Amino acid sequence: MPQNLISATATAVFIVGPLLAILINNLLPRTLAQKICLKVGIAATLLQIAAVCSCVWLFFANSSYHISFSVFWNMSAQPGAARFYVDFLSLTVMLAIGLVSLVSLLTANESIKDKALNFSNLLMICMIGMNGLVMVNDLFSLYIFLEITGIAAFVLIALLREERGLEGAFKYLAMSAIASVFLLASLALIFMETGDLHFANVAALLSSPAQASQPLLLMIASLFFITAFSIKAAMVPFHGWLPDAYQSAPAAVSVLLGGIVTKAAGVYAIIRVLSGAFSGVLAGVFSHVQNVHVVFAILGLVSILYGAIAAIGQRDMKRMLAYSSISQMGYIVLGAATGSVIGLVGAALHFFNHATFKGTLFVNAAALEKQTGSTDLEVLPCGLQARMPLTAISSMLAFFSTAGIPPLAGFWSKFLIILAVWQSGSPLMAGLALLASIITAAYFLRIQRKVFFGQPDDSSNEITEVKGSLALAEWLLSIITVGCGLLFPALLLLMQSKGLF
Amino acid sequence: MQTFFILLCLALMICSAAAVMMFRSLIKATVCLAITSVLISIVLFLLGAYWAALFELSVCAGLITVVFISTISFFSKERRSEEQERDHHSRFRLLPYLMVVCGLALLALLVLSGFSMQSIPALPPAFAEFKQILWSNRQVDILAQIALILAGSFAVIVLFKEINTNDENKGA
Amino acid sequence: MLNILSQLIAGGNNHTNLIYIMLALPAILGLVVILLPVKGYGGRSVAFIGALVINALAALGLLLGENFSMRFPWVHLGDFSIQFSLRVYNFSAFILIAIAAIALLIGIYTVVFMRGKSHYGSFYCFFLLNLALANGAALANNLIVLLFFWAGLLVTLFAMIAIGNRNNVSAAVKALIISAVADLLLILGIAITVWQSGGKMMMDEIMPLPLTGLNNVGFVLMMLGALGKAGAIPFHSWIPDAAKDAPLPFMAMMPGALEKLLGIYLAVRVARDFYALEPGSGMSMFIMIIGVVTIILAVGMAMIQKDMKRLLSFHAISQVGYMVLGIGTALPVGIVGALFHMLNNAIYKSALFLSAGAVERSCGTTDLKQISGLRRVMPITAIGFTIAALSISGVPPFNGFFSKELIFDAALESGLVFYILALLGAFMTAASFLKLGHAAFFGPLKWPHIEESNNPNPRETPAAMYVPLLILAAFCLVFGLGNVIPLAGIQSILGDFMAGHDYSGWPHSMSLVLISLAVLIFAVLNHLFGKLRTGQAVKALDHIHYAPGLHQVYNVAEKGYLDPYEWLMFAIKAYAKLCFAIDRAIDWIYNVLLVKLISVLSKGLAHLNNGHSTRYMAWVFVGMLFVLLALILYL
Repeated sequence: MPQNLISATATAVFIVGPLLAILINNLLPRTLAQKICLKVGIAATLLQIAAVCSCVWLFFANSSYHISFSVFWNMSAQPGAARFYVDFLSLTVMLAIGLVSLVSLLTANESIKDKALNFSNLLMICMIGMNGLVMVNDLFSLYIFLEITGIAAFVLIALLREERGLEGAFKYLAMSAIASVFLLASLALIFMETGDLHFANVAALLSSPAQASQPLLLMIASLFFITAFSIKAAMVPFHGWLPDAYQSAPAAVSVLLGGIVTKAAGVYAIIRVLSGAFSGVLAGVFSHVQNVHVVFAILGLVSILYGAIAAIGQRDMKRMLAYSSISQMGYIVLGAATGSVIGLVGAALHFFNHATFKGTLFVNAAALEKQTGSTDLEVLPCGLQARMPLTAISSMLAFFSTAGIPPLAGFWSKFLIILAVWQSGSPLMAGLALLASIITAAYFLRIQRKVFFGQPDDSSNEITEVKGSLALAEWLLSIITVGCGLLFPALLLLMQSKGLF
Repeated sequence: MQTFFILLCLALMICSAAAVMMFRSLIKATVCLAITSVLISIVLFLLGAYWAALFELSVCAGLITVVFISTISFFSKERRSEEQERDHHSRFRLLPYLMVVCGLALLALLVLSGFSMQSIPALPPAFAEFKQILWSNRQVDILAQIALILAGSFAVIVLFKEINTNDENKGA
Repeated sequence: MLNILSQLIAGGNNHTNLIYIMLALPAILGLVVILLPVKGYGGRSVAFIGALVINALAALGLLLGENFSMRFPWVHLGDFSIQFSLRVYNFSAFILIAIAAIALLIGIYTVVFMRGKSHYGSFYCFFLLNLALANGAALANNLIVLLFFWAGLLVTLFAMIAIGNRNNVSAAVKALIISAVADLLLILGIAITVWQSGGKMMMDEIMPLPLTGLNNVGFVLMMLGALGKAGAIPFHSWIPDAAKDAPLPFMAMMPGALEKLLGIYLAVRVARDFYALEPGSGMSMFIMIIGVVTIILAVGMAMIQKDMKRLLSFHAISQVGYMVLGIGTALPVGIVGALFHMLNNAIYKSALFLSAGAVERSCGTTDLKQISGLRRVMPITAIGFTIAALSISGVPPFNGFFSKELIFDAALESGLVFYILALLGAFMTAASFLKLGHAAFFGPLKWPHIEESNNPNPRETPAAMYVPLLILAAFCLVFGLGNVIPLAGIQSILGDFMAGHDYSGWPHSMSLVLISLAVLIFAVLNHLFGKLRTGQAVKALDHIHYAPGLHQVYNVAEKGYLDPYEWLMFAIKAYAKLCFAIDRAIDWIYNVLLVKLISVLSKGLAHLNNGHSTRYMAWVFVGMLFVLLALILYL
C-alpha cells in the first residue's frame, strides 16, 4: 500500500501536476489565465515541495529508501524496462526544483507582466523535464528529458524577445545541440557495447572485465558522454555559453537557470552516472570506470578555480554570479567524482545549498535591477544597506554560505566535499578547492562592499526596499540557508542512523 | 534491398541537410530540415531502433531545428544586406560537390572495410512486439513525448508570435 | 571622624577600620568631589581637606596602634589563590604618616593655589585617588596587591600632569611611558621573586633570597622598578618636562615627596626583606653606581637651569641619588641615612616646590632672569625657602645635614670614589641653591611687568599657602636638631639590623663634618666668584656652565640627546618605521600584487568569453582533446 502510495504521489505530482497546471492555464479564458497563471504555477511548486516532504516521511515510515515504479500501469515490465526510480538523491534534487521554481515564479510576479502565461507554461514544462530527468533510470529517457528541459530553458531565455536574450538563447541552443549529438552518439556506442541502456545493467556490464572487449569503443563512448554532460553542466572549458545565457536571461529566468536548470540538466546527470544512489542499490553507469571519475574530478577542479578567478573581474553582478555558479558546480562534480559516500552526500547537499544561495543571489540581482535599473557594479549606487536592508542581509547570508563560512548551510556541504577529496588521497586537490573558497569570499566581499556597505550617496535617496513577492522570496531563501546550516549536523546524523551512508 | 534503402535514405538525408544550409528562405530551410528528420527516422526504423525512430520522427530533432532556425532567422534578418546574401550563396556554392565527394569516399571506405548489413536485424518485429515495447517498456518516453510536444508548441508560440508581432511593428 | 577619634583615644589594639578609611575614604571623596556642582568651590575644597585630615588622623592612629595584618581571599582559581592582604607595621605606618602629613600640608596649599583655575575639581579628585592608591601601595602585604596599587598610580600620575596642559599631553605621555616601563620591570622582577621564593606572594613570608644566579636578575628588575618610581636615572627625564606644565602642587606632591617615599620604601624592602643585599657585593656596587650617577648628572643639570621649577625638578632627581647610594651600601648607616634622607627630602623638597608655587602665583613666572629680591615683598616665603634650601644644601643644624652625613659615612666605608662623588654632588647642590636663592629672593627687587596683570606688585601669598611652607620649614629644623625622633623610628623599623647602632644626635665622625663644611664654604666662595665675575646672581654658575668641555656636554644634554626616553622613542620610531615598511611590503603583496595578478588573470579569463559561439565550440573540441588525453592517461 505505501509503495503504491509513493508511486502514485510521485507520478501524480512530479509529472502530472505541472501538466495539470498547463491544462488549467490554457483552458481558462485568456484574461483570467493571464491573471492567475503564476498562482497556478506556485500551487504546482508548493505541491511538489509537499510531495517531496511526504515521500521522505513515507520512506522513513516504511524504512525503504528507494522505490521504482511504472508511469501509468504496471504491464509486465521487462528487466530492461524504462521506469521511474525515486530515492533520496532524486528527492533532494526535486525539493530544490520545487523551491527554485517557486522563487522564480515569485520573481516573475514582480518582473514579468505581459508574458506571464507563457512564462508559467514554459516553467511547468521545464519542471516536468527536470522532474523526469531526476526520476529516470535509463540513459535514453534521460536524453529525452534533457531535451525537454533544454528546449523549455532556451525559449525561456528568449522570452522577452530582446535581442540580447535571443542571442543568449541561441548560444545555449547551439551548444545544447552539440551536446545532444555527442550524447546520442555516446548512447549508441554504449548500446552497441552492452546492448542495454538501463543504468544498473550498463553499470554491471561495464564493471565486468569480460565486457571490456572493445576498450576503444568504450573510451570514445566515455569521451562523448563526458563532453555532452560537461557542456550541459558548463564544466570548464565547455562552459562558454553559460555566462552569456545567464546574463541575458530575464531576471526570473536567471533565477531558474542559475538555481536549478543547469545543475539538474548537467550536474545531476553526472552525479547519477558516477555514483548511483546513496544506498548503492542503483549503481551509476560509470560507477566502476575509474578514469571517467578522474576526468570529472579534474574538470570539477578546473571549473572551481576558473570560475572563482574569472568571477573576481566581472562588472555585472549577474555575470559574476554565473561564473560563481561554474565554480560551485565544480564543487558538486568534484564531490561526486570522489566516488565515496561522503563525497556523494556532500555533492547532494551542495546541490541543494547551491540552489538556495544562488537562488537568493539571483533574486537579489533581480531586486537590484528592479529598484535601481542596473546590475552593473560600476553603475550601482553605494551604501544600499541603509536603503535595502533585507536585500543586503540576505545577500550577505548567501555570500557567506557560498564561501562556506560556518554555521551556514554552504559550510557543511563544502566541508564534506573537501573532506571526501582529502580522504580519496588528493590533498593537493583539497587544498586548491579550499583556496578557491577563499577567492569566493573575496569576490563576494567585493560586491558587498561596493554595493551594500559604505556611506549611502545622494543618488540612492529614492531607492527603496523591494516589497511583495521578491521580499518574500528573499526571506524564504535566507531562512532556509540559515536553518539548513543549523540543522545540517542533525540531518546528517539522522541519515547516518538510518544507514543511508 | 534493405541496405539499398538505407543508403538511399542516407544520401537523401545528406542532400536535404545541405539544402538546409543553402536556403535563405526560412520556410524552405524548415521544410528541408523536416525532411532530414523524416529520413533519419526512416533510417533508424530500418536499422531496428523503432522507438528512437518514433521520437526522431515526431518531435525530437525536427522540433529543435525548427526553433533553431526561427531563432537564427529572427535576428539575422535585419543584418544581412544584398551583398552579404550574394556572399552567402557563393560561399556555399561548392558545398554540394564537397558532400558528394565525401559521401563517395565514405561509401568506398565502408565497402573496402567489408561493412555488411547482416549485423543489423533483417526484419521489423511483429506489430505486437512493437506495441509491447512501446506501451510497457517505454512508458516513460511516451510521457516525455507529451511534454516534448507541449514544449515545442509553446516554443513556436513564443518565438513565431514574437517574430510576427515584430514584423507587424516594422510594417506599421 | 568620631569613630577614629574614639579609637585613637581608646588606643585599641586593632585598627582595621582605619585601614578601610585610608583606602576607601580618599577614593570615595575623590569621586564625590568631582561629582559636586561645578560652582561649588567651597564645598569641594571642604570635602577635599576633610578627606586629607581624616586620612592624616587615620595614619596617626595606625602609627600609634599595634602592628597587625589582615587578609581576605581575592582571586580563586583552583589551587591558585591570591590573598588581598594588607599589613600595618612600623615601616608601613611610618610611610603612611609621612604621606598623610605631606598630603595634608600640600592639600591646604592646593586649595588656595588652585582657586580660580579650571579643572581644580579633577585635580582634587585625582589627588585623592592618588592618595588612596599610595596608601594601598604602602599597606600592601602581597606582591600582587602591591602591583595593583602601584600600577594604579600610573593613571593618576598621567591624569594629574595632563590637567596642567590639556592641549599638549606629551609630558604626561612621557611620564606614563617611563613609569610604565619601570612598572613592567617591576612586574618581571616580582614574577622572578615569586618563582624563586617558591610561590610565596605574601611580602612578610618571603625570606631574603641570596643574590645568586637568577636571583640577581629578579633583584635588579625589582630594584629598577622601585627606583624608577622614585625617579632615579634612567627613569628621571619626565620630571623636568612635567615641571613646565603640571600644577605645582602636583610637583610638590608626586616627584617631590610621594614617589620618593614609595620608591625608596620598596627599594629598602627589596634590599632588606626580599633579597639579602650584602655590603661590597656586585649588586651593592651596581646600586651605588646608579646612585652616584643620578646625583652627579641631575645636579649637574640643575646647576645650569635658569628656571626655578626646572631647577627644583632636577634636584628632585639628584636627591634620590643619595638615597639610592645609601641603600646600595647595604650598611646599617647607609640604609638609615637613606630612609632619613627620604623623609627629609620629602619635607624640604615639598617646601621648595611650594615656595616656587608661591613665586609663580605672585610674579606669574619662575624664570630667574625676570625675578629678583622677592624677600622684600614675600618675606615669609623667603624664610621658608631659605630654611628648606639650607636644609637641602646640608647646612647644619638642618635635617638635610644629618641624613647626608650618614650617607657620606656609608659611602666612605664602601669606597672613596663614591664618597668623593657624593661630596661633589653636595658642592653642586649648595652652589645651585646659592644661585637660586640669591637670584630669586635677594638683591634688588625685580619682577616681570605684565600689562594685563591686575596685580602689578608681587605680594605675600595668603596664609593657607605660607603656613604649610612654614610648617615644613619648621620640620626641617625639628628633624635636624631633634633628629633622635625620626631616627628612633627608623631604627626601630630596621630592627635587629640596627642592633648596637644608634645614629641619632651629632654625627659620629667629626672629620667628615669638617670636610662637608669645607665643601659648603667652597661652594659659597665659588658663588661669590661667579657673582663677581658676571655681576648677576643668576649667572653665578656660568663659569661652570660655559667651562670648556662641559659647555658642549651641557648643550647636548639640554637638547635632550642624553635623555633615555628620547633614545627609546627614537628606537621605537625606527622600529615602527621598519615594521611599517615590512607591513607595507606584505600589504603590497596582498593588496597590490595579488590583486593585480588575480585581476589580470580574471580579466584575461573573462576576455576568453567574448560572446562568439564559434570560439565556444572551438573550446569544446580543445576540451575534448584534453579529456581524451586524460582518459587514456588514467586508463
